[in-house]
Amino acid sequence: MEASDTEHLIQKDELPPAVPKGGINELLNVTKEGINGQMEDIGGMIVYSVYMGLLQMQLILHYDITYREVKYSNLGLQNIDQKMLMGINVTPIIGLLYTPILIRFLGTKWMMFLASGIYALFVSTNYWERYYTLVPSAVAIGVAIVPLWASLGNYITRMAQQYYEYVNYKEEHVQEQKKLPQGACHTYIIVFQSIFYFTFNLSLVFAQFPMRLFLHTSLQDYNHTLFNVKHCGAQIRGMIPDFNTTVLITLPRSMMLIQFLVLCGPAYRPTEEIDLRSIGWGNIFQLPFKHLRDYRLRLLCPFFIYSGFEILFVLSGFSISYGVCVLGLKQLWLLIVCYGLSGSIFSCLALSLLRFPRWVALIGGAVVHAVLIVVLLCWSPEPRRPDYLAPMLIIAVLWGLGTALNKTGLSIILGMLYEDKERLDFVFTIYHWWQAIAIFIVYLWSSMPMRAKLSILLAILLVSCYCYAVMELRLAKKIHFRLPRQRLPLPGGGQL
Amino acid sequence: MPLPNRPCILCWLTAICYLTTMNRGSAASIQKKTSCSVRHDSADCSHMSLNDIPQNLPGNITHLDMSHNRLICLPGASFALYSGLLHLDVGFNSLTKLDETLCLTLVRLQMLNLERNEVHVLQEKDLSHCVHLKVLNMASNRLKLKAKEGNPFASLENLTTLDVSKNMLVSAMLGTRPQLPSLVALTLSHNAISALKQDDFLFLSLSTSLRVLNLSNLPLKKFENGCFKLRTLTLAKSLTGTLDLDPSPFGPLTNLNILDLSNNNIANINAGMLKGLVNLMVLKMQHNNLARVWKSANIGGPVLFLKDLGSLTVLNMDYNGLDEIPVDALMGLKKLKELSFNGNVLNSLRDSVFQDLLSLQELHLQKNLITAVRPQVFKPAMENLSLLDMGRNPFDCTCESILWFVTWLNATNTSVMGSKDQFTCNTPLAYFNLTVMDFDSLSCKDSTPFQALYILSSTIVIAVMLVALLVRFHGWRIQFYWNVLINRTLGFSDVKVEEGREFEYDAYVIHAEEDDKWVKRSLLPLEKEKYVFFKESRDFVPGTSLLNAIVDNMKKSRKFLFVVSESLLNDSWCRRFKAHQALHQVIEDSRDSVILVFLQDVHDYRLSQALFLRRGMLQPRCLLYWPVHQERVPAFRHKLRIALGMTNTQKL
Repeated sequence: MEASDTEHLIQKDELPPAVPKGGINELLNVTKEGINGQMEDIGGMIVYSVYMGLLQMQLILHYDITYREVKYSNLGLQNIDQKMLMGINVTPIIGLLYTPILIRFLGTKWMMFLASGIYALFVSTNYWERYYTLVPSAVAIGVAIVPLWASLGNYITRMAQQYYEYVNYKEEHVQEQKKLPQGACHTYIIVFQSIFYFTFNLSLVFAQFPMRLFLHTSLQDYNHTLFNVKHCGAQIRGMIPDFNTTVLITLPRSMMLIQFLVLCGPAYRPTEEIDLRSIGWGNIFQLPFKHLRDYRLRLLCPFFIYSGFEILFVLSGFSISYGVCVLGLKQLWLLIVCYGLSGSIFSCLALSLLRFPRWVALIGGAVVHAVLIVVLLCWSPEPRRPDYLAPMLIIAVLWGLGTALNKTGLSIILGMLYEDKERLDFVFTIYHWWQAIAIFIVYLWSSMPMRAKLSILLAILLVSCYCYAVMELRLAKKIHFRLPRQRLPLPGGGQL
Repeated sequence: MPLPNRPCILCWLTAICYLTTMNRGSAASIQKKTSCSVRHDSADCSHMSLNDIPQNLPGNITHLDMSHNRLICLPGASFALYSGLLHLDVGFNSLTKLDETLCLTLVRLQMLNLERNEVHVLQEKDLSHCVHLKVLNMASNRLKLKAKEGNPFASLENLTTLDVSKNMLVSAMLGTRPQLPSLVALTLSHNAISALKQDDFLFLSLSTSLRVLNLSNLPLKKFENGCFKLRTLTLAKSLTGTLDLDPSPFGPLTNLNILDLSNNNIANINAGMLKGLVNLMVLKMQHNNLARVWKSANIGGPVLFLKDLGSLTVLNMDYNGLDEIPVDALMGLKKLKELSFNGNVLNSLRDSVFQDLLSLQELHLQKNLITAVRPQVFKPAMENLSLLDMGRNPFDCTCESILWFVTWLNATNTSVMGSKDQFTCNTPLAYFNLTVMDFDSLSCKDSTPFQALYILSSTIVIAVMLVALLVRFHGWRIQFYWNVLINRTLGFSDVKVEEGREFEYDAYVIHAEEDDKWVKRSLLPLEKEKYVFFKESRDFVPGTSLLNAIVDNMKKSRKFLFVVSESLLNDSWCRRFKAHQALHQVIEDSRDSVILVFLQDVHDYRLSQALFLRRGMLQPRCLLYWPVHQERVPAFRHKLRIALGMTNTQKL
């Protein structure tokens, strides 16, 4: 096995390549790949905004004891919700085992199609919330989450490469389907990933619409919900201790939920088939693990974990234990909208990588987050203080900035480091698998003290920055890394 | 109607008229009456501490009340003046025995009340002359009536009511031979009867009009088959715990209308106990201990002892500790009008438990543990209800449990016993102690179509996914079968009829040297199906000029089949000359006759550079891709046949 792995030497080039000739003109044209990329972004955004909006509303409604008991008296909704969250958070752990096989078997596009179908199925179970509908669909989502994100990342990167090929169709290496020259399509990767995250982060904004439009009027204000709450922020343990068990003034009528479920439906995305031919199932199964031998990927792992941590921390830890605890449940949507908007807008900052070295995005995001974590560590605001709205919003916006830089930075770096299209899905699988592990850890730690959570977050962030720096230094020194060889059979198999 | 548990003494007392004051020489104290009061033909001498019958009363009286005195005996001689008496009340005295001369004197006597005396022996001769007696009350004496005393009531042919309750009887057998032909009501309650033997009621076999047999408050332990022909049987407080007898003692009581088994602490009963009681209308079983009998965990299943009582109209099962009702327990009780389960611990009732109770008018379910009132259970029972008594239950005010009930309560005309504030919610916390009428039914609205919507939307999602994946992975197969179907029915084309004669070959195969193997293996087998290909390396006539041969043979070929691969694009001979020539031929003949078979995926730009062809220039059916999967080869071949069979002349 060791002998079969070939060693590669990477030539590092700091500067992004110039846009090839004719590219500018072609960029103006709306091309097939461009449309497909946009469709993909928008499709993913719709699926995720519907999914997250529903999940959030469902959790809030189910939290209210009166709603729970009046509507679903002996159903054990809380138990179902716990199982559901467990299904969503725990199942992805085994994602590493099957994701590459699934992607190879179905192809990237069909994998995304299947995954969005599963999300649609979950959404439709919200019509009929029972144990036998919610829990299986939640487990299905858990199964689909890593393949979906791996194929999304893979797809966006491949789209960028294809777009490069399309624009530069006259180049020799494009015509003969040879390996692209080093760094040739970095520009496209940066642009495509920025656009993707710009669109995707908007899903957080849209996800708040159902809550704002339908649930907002029936929510109790902070004097009721936070009546017994003594502490907020860094001092507390768990989510919000002594949060009132009734949060609804009136029980909302179920009818209103229908209106936005109609939005959902798996959008069929006609795209060019990405050709990932079979290289043997057993081999595919091993390849994600073999890729972990590559020190670049190993050193990026802490960042992958951090990337999972921070998104869940802001959505569950910060917005609940700080935001809701101080401002009340009514302001939750505002915080998340601000976070999503800033994430969306600042994703465009990643375009600066066209001019700056690639570490700028990642390290910039890390610095912002580190400062915020330190601030949060020291800050234990009192509950029921609506005048703290402004600082909360500023933190949410800044965190969104950090998230945007982190996510786009990571995806762009992966796209830059692994230009070989045969490896992309393995690399993205590993990335999102580590993220899933991080999400699972966040799920486990929900009852820990806030300071402990923040400290873990900060430690992981520092470790990942250090590891990233080590990796860049090693690359600068041109130290060899190992890549598993992939035996690619000829098209047509043994029939020729 | 149920029988009263105690003899109706007061009825008789009110029937006796008051006596006028006649007894002036009475030794009574100041508080007591000093003389009997006489009014019309009635004399009242009660409460006067008399030792004898006063002799100064009018001779024509028919009613005499001597109760609450100190009489010790009743010799017939003391009534000599009052031989016209019809009613005589000597209750609450100290009589120890009866004198046979009494009835000899009072021949017309119809009612005799001997309640609360000390009579301990009753011989056959004592009542032998009282043939006109209709009512005899001997309650609260000390009668034992041993067998040797014979048949003391044998001569009472007109007796309709006999009360021997609260005595010391050890056997229900009041006689050894059939007697008392006119008896209607017999009260045997509060005695020491511990067993009802088979022939105990033999003496009643002539009593065809017997309607009421009161056996309440007996320490019954054994219960043998009797020969009752009763309408009412009251066994309240008379049994001790078990009613698990076989054969059933009630078996012969086919005429029984009312059966009172209340207050017996009955814990055991068998399914056939009430089997023959086809005319039973009222069954009272309150204050028993029948909880175990109806448990589903009971060994051998729940005992369905009500199953044959088709004409039952009133059923009372109050205070039995019941916590469940078996599904079939009340089946068949179609005439039931009044059902009472007060004071049990009923919690969740199974669906269709009340299914047959369509004529129910009164339903009592007070003080149970009922939380949910669901239509599946209560709808049949509540259709014709006129009285509902269901308060003091811990109602669970949730959509599933109470919504239907609240809607029903708001709409119904049924009178609800107790004010509606007895219907209070216990759970959830938000509704605790509020009346169910406050339940906000709006919050439950619209929950009905959701299941349908769920099924609809998930079906659509799953169907779309399955169809898409099916098309993705087996679309080629579907297309293949479709093509085969079309071609079997319509045929490939009519080309051969029109063009077949001009051409020698069906297709001129243009391929690179490297693809020779593929052509031989995958293309030439089609020649077995009367296709004729021109393959250069095989069909060139040796010696002719290569260029001429190509040009000539191309003219003789109906189609040009390009086997496109990287090597073809690099083969300058194919690219330059053959492709040019083929296209020239196409333009010259104004025919659309190019077929491209792609062995590899080739960029369109490169294709146009090498062969001056673009995919867009050709009909989709003329573009064929050699499949990677072995199983798709037949589909490829079929497509090739279609492409070869297509008509060439361009439509104008």
